[in-house]
Amino acid sequence: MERKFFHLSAITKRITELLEPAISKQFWVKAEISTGRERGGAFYCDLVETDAGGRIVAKVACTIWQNELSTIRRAFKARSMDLVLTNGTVVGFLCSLQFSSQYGLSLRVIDADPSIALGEMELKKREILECLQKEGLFETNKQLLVPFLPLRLGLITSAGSAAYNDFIQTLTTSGYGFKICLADAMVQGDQTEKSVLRALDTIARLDVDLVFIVRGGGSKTDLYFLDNEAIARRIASYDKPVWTGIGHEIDTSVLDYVANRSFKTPTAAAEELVARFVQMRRQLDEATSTLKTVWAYRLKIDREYIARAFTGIQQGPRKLLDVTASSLRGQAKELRLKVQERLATEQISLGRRTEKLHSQPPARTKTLSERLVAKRQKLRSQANYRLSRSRDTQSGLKQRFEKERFVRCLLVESDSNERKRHQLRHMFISALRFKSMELASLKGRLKEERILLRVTTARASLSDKMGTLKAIDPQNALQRGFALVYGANGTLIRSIGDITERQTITTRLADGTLLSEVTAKEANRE
Amino acid sequence: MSEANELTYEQKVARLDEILTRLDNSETPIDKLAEDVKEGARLIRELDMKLKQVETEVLDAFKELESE
Repeated sequence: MERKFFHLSAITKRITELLEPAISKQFWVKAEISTGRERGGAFYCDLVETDAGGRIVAKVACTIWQNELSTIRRAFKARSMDLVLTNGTVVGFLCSLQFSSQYGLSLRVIDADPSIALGEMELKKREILECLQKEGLFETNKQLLVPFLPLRLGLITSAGSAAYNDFIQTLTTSGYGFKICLADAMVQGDQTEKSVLRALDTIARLDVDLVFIVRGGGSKTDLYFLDNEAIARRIASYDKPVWTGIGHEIDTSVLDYVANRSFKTPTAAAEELVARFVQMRRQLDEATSTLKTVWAYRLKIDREYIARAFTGIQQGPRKLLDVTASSLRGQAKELRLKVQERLATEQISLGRRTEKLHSQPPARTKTLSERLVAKRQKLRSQANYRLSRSRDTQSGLKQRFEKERFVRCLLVESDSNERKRHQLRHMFISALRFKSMELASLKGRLKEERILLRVTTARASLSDKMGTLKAIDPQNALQRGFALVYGANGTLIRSIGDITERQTITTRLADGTLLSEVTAKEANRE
Repeated sequence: MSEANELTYEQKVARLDEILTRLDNSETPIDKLAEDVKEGARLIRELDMKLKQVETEVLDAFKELESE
């Protein structure tokens, strides 16, 4: 059998014919972009479907022609989105089949569904957020301490972009001396992750207080590039606080969650920074003003104090001296008064004493001499009496008079007699002296005979006196009938009070003694 | 100008107070009066000088603050 060979073009023509009914049909396909590339205004890629294991289970080439591409992009823009055609992006395309003899079967994209793109992005973002939150990475950068007034700033953004300009301008117009280290980075597009990570690494080596990641407003899909897990993890582990100013109205980027603080726009981030300086400036101004006021007050107080102290030190001593002098004068006056008072007292006292001294001795002498005269008279009268009484028995008495007895009796008569004897002796001696003095004076004048006569007379007088003495001898009294009474212990009893009843007494008479007992006592009735 | 044992402003004020109080209450012994007065006058002079010096410094500081 002869084989029939067809031209390849005949085959492709036939396939074209067969596919003709299908090619006019349009259908929605949901698939993942792979090996995408844009060339000559058109976009070429493969749409693939993978199973759970990531294995490709279906793959069809796909083209978006320039026309459709720009139409779709406009439509996306109208919903503030970008058409994202990076590899791995899940897309929802309205397609039709096309078959080219040269390029084979492929899908031609007519339209794209933005909600698929968004949904996919949201899904992915949620996954990233859940994962980061579970690991506690939202908090790590927030826990870093931001200096209250950070001046050295790290800035990661696209240099020259609107966001960059907004940020720089806000800081510049504030007038504060910020030092900004710019790390230029792409903040959208495929290179975002790599570029931002490199910028973060660069700034990590610099001495900055705070790092900003800013980018301007864009479509929702623009944001997608910053919903990046790798960048988020890097920020979470960063040793410097990171503030984000990623322009968006309602949505938040993944970076906003892990950042130390996030702001809706670059300008807002810069303004917060400036606000801190403005506030500090205001506080400093207030403090300066307070300081001035307080200082002026304190200065015033101290000046017044010194002025007062000056017055005090000028007047105080004078006052003190016045007070002291016045006190001294007072004391002097008091002293004078007291001395005068004392002198007067002493004078009065002295006067009294003088008077007393004047009056007493003569009075006393008078009393004493009177007493002496009285005694002398009494003695004389007694003596005379006794002399007259005893003259009769004088001779008898003379015989019986014995010196020894006299002496013994004198001893017995201790008190009064002794005293009287003394007085008498004294008188005698005085008299003798007087006489002897008289004699001495007279001696020269007198002749021996007269002297002898005088001596004889004196002897006779003396003898008389001896007689008087003898007359008062108690023995004589005893002879006259008087008795001496002695108690048991030999004491002389002078009063009935000296003895009690039933006591034995000794009565001495002239010629002996009697022992008797007292039976009764009777006082003299006088 | 300040020695190691120089009294501070406050200590000088306290010392001056002490002297003035003693004067006011006439407690200063007359023997010490001249000495106290001399010391008081010296303290006042020193305090006044110190105050003037501080005032100058403070005003300068404020001036610097304002010229910034």
